[in-house]
Amino acid sequence: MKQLTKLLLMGVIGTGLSFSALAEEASVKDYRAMLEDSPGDFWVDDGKDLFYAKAGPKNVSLEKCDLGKGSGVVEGVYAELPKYFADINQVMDLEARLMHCMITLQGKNKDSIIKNAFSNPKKGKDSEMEKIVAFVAAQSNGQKFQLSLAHPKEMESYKTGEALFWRRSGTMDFSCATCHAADGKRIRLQTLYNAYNDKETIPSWPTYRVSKSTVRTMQNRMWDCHWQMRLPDVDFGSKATVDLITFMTKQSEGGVIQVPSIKR
Amino acid sequence: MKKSIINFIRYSTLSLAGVGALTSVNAHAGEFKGANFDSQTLQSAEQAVKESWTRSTPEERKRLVQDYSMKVCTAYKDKPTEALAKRIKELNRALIEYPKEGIKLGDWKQGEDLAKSGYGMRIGTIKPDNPKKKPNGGNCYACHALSPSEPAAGNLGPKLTGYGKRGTNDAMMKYTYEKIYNAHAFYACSGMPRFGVHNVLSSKQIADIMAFLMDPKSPVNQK
Repeated sequence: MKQLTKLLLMGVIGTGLSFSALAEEASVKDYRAMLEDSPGDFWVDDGKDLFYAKAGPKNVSLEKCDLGKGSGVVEGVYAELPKYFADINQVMDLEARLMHCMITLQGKNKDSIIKNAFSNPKKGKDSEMEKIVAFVAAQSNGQKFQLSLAHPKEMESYKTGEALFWRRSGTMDFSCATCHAADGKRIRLQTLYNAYNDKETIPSWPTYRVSKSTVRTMQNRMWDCHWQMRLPDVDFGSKATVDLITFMTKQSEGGVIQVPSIKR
Repeated sequence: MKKSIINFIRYSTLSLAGVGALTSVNAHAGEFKGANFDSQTLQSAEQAVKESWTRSTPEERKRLVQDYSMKVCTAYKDKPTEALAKRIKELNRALIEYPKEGIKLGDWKQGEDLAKSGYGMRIGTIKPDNPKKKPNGGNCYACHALSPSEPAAGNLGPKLTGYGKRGTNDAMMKYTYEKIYNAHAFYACSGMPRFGVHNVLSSKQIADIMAFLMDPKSPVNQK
């Protein structure tokens, strides 16, 4: 039966060689449905091993890392991130918090974490961060994002994030909003997420990107978008990235987390 | 070369004026009255920018500096008041430079290549784009439908298929050149990049893209 469905779907894709954007969309959606499982699940498995493995100069695991619900709790933490952490008096997303734990608990070097945060399969470069992020995020699967913004710093992060979202700069005069603040917009045939009316996109990150042959995280997405906007490389885990993620995650509230998804 | 220097000075001056205006948002509080973001939030965004690009070079970070238009567009979520929109359009009109030889149509085939190409201006740890090896593109297709034979066109900007049917009189030539050079002279806070102002495209490249839009032989103007 499953095979039959697959064959039928392949037929749909095969015959549906219309170039209209609508047909393009439908075929990609069918293709995703056909895959059922994301190759990103391998990243989740590896990430679990890495999370509980002793590592760094202090030779300890990340089990004592407080990701928002107490030491070592991974279940449901992603659904409430970014959030305010009293121990460092700032708002952090999952990746900034993991980096913080790697530095403080494991004694790892910040520059080295940042340098290796993103994998590059073409060059055989691996990223432990991508795997650990995939693992922790997947422990919120089926849950809805819920950011309280009760702490003043959380509210500040949300507001600043929205201002950054509209902040125009660079040689292209772009802001995030130039492309991501209206429905039905496309760059070429690529449909664009609308931060003001989309509960699916953000809860689908981290995602396995077929074009990159790896799992990509929201921090990577923040870097990539700025790079495409012809801006300099934004710092991994920086305030601007966390604030943007706070804003977009809050906007996505109500959407069900299902990660790692699979995307182009 | 000379043109780009003049351009740089003009733009820098505008940037500096802009920086002055926003480093003290409060001084211009009246000006940003009714904006979507209050001055505190805008200042906090500027602080976030300062803290979040520490690993880039100072040269690269110049791209983060906003000119006056960018600041107003940010504060008002791209919908400035009528008075501010007028000011933005005037400021941007003053930035337009014209080719010495006059506004002419170039080669539509080269214009088509530029309309397809998204190469150019990318910087950072990944090998930066090098205009000496490959020219900057205009990437028109990212946002606009042009030739009817190219279906992979974006829709952030209006459809430009059949653009040339309006003819090539002086007014159309001037309008098209100016629009590509600086769209913000027509529509404050337009989503279209200011290709001439930022030296993304040279006046020769603009002439080629104009030919792609307006030459009766161009695929843009075929049925």
